[in-house]
Amino acid sequence: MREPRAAVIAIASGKGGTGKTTIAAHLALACSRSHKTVLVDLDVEAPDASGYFPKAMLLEEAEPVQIPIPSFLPQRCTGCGLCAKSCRFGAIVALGGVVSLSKELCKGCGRCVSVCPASALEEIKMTVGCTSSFTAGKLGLLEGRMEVGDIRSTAVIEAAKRRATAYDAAIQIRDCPPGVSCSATHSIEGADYVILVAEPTEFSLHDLSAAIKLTKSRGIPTGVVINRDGFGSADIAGFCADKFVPVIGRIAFLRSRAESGASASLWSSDVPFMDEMDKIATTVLESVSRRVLA
Amino acid sequence: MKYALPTDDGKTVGKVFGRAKSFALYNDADASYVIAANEGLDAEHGAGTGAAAFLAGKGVSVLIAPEVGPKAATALSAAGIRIEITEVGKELGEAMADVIVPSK
Amino acid sequence: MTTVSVASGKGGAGKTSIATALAVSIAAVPGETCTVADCDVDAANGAIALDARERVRFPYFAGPGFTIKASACTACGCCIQACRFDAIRKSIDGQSYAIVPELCERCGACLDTCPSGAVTMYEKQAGEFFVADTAPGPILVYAELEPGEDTSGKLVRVVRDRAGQLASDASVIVVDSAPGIGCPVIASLSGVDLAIIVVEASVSGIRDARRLVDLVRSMKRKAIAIMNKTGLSANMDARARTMLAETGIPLAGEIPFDPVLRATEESGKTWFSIEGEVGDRVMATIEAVGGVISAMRRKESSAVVMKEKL
Repeated sequence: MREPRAAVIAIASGKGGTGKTTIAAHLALACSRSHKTVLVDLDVEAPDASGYFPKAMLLEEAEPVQIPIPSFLPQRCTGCGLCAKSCRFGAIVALGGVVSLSKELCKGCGRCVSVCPASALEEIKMTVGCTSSFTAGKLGLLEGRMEVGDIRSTAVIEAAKRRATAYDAAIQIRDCPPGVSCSATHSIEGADYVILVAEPTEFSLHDLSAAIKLTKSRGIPTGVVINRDGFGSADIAGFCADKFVPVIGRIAFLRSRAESGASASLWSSDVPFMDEMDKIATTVLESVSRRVLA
Repeated sequence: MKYALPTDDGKTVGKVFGRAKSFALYNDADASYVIAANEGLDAEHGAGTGAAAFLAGKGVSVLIAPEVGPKAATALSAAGIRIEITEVGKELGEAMADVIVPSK
Repeated sequence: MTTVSVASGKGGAGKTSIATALAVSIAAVPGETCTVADCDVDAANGAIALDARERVRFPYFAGPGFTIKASACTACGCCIQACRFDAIRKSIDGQSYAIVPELCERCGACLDTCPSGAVTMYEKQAGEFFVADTAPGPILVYAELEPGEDTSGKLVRVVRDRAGQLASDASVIVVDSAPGIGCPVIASLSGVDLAIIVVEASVSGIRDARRLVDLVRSMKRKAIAIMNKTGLSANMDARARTMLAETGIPLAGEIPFDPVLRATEESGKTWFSIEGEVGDRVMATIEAVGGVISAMRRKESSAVVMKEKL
């Protein structure tokens, strides 16, 4: 007998600024009206989904996200320099026989520790970010936040994903970072469906192409939502048809929507918009349940 | 005491430190100087910290450069290498003289 | 050669639009040449805006990739234990493991732990970089990466170096900076004569621009700012101006939000080609920046002339 598990929907886009977080937040809001839903903010370098829910209440103290980084035991070091040679990130340098660690460059891969023949490196924990859990009315909100200027987004994203699994919701909506770099690929990994948000401009079309290439190579069903429909002339729908990717929603450009976007205010009273969110949610959940129960 | 300067053309001070094409290394004990290629130029990450390690390995005490990125600065400090600021494009000899024989 | 870098800290703030418009306005002056180093690889849209015609392309190798030879794999699972990035999966027939390239951080821990030598290094092509000619004039250097590959300091250096090789001593190089504040941005700002900070007048835009200001200051770069997408929220506009005043960054101009500006994100259009009042307002700001650059170059060249005289 299959255990029921959450339907995981990732909201991503090839390009920054297409309205992905706005759509993720409102889609989550729409879903929360009928299902236990958690919005998971995986844009850990700059998580701003919570900006739409200023009255959200923190459920418990933020959990630190820690990675294992090496700590040097100079008394055991033989000066062989193998640790520095093994590090692909330039985080360990052997400065004339003395090992120096650049904590901020370390990815916590553990290679130097395992390679050291003299056990002169041991692992200690370093905090690179945190995950926080909030409630905003019926909607749960989980946020991954990386320390400012840090580069270890993967660790924070994976920690937020694990915490979301433990959340026990019926639907998980992931707000992913833009682009198709490392953090974006980890954010969509494991999702049942990816919604790509595009706007009708050539820029967005070009980036959408890269995003579709990624979701196809990871084998995740994909649909496109066209945001700010109406002011650009790029043929997103035609492109999607060529790639056999369905267009599952269209949100018309309205200046009033741009204004609320700038100050991150909720649009729950924008009826046509929320109707479109409901429509998108229905489409995606039908597709997911077909797969999950198959 | 050993000094280092980043140089791309072998004659004047280069614009960047970590990914400079080479370093001019000057030893004031015997007034000798060599141009050493920057082996870490091609490194994907940590070119600045790699360059700091390279210079430390050569026994350099002073780096004379127009600027140093924040991560490289930390590595140089950890290696005990002092940083003296100079101008891009200055002749290497002149830049070195500014530091070794500073005018009042 | 004068190098200016357009940076924003946040994606979608208008950095590429501003960088391309600036490059075109510089190239439009008779006798001037401009080269664009597009380091915003996650969204390499400079090529579209400038209607680029590819001249030549080169493969870009970031660093070694890792792969598992299925025939040598005994499915012992040591690699999965060693991998801290969840990048290894069982193959469909369960007989071996495979590394997912899009998730692999290329650390090499799996190679060290594999007892059967099934994990090997290979020269993984991380992407390509291109040199292109553009209709409005500037030469363009840009790159595209494979999914899962990140922009690195190395890539930015490769793009900037190629742009530097193509530019003449009298040229201006406009760097469309990588987004964020990490290593690629540091590489986008190192050694530049002027940093142009694009502040999007929104909550996230102002917050990210502020972090960028801190970085620019720590690198001792000369900086000016442009506010973008103003007019949507008076509160946000005021907050952006306050942030710049508090940090002492001169404001070159404000560009209002206008659908017409977003609509130019099309082939062969930059803000330089917009007609009417909106276009004039935008170009007034761009030309103000151009003025700062010219003044800097006159100072530079008069300093050279002084030196030659002495």
